[in-house]
Amino acid sequence: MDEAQAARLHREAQAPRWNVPQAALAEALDRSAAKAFAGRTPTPAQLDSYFSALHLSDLALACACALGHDAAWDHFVAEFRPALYRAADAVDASGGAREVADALYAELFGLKERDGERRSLFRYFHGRSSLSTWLRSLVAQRYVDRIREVRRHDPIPEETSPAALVAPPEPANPDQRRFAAAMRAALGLAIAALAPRDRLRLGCYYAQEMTLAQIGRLTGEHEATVSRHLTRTRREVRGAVERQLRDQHHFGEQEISECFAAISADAGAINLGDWLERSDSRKNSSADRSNPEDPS
Amino acid sequence: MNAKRDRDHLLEEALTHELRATGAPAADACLDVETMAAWMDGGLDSNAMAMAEAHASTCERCQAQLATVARTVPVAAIARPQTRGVWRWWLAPLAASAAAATLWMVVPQEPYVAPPSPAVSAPAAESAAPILEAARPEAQPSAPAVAVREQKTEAPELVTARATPSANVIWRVGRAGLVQLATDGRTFTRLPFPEAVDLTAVTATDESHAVVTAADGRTFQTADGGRTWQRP
Repeated sequence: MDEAQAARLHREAQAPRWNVPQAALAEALDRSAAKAFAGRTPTPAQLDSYFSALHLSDLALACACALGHDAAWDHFVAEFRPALYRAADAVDASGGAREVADALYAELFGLKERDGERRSLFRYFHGRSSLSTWLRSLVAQRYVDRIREVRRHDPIPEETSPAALVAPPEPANPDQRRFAAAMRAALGLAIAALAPRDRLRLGCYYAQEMTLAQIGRLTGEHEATVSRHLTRTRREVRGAVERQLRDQHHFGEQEISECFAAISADAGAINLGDWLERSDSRKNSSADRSNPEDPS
Repeated sequence: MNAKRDRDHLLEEALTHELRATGAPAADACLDVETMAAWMDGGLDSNAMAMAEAHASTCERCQAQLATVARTVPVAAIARPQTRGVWRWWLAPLAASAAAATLWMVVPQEPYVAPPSPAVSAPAAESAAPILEAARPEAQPSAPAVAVREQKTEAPELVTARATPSANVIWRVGRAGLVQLATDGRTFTRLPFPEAVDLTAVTATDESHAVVTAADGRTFQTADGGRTWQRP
């Protein structure tokens, strides 16, 4: 980044308001670009366009907070804490997410030191989103991880406890387990064969219970479009499952219907990872996007 | 008999419990917070977006986080048009009374066919723009519609969130202090609420206990099925 560009961006970000040195903002912008163009060398025009699209004033505020400037921190607390609490309450009105939000302040302020240097979470805000969205995402991530952690540590029933002694009921139809296993395998294959966006819509709708509008905001589609794609995808999955059951297991229509019924009566879940690992084309579609430094 | 049940319906059931329970493993590192936030705000380029989608499509953790972020979008950011001009403060009590009276008359009291059971509170305003089945050209007569989650409310624009603590108990909240409860899974009764504020979230443990969140961040709780409300 040349000096003139750094000065212009410093001005546009209103960084002088928070006494953020031009060099500090330039460093933050460089970090941002390094992440966005990881593995690529942008042209000057691409870089200029990228910087122009950033939430510059939020980035300047985050820089100032990371540097420990009191005025910036006071402004952040006054302006963003109410929104953060509203977001936390929307996630969990019983206060669980608000606890998570409160716990973030120490990390945002940078109480934890690394190599003798204070490290603030603000360092990992790069301006590609608004500061508000970044904070909401931070709360969401911590909250989800906490829930998952609690679930992981739920006690397993003692072997002699009533819960452990209750044996699962035997299926009335002796073929039910065979049908369920065949159905589960076919369903796993069908889902793994979907395009990523189709699979994402499916997961968001059925597993996460997101609404069409929420999914649409995620995929940049109108909710009517999401609805149409979900209908199409479900039709494709059903077709693929029926084909698989017919061709691989040589089941007739009656047995295929039994397979559909069996899986809803059978506990367990598909291991999507197993099926995805068998698909070389999908293995290459993802890459490591995490910032090894970013503790979030 | 099972064989007579519709395959589409059974497939939807299977997708719901299989995908929910699977915790599909991620083949690589999860999306970090910054990438997720950039995704939500449209700050990813097409390449980064494709990679993020590919990962999230197989990662239950990232999907759960995206869903959680999506649920935090404030009502005002979605549904409220920006009003210009000077607000006549003296009209506020009149407007609130009129709105409350209108809502009382408009909100349906007749039976409601409940959709399948989300057990968590949904965020504000997702039902502000419902899809009509007629608007879906691909919809097949034999295929159950996917877009049924918010469409069967007679006044969906009023309802912003709901909670389903059990099969028959459904709490719904909405704009201007709307709180409704169904204890048979179908028929909603409107409950009194102390303020005509927009309600954005609800969590409930049973038909007696619920906590609702207002758009201004305040929470109200009831322990008697909505007859009385207290601030925690």
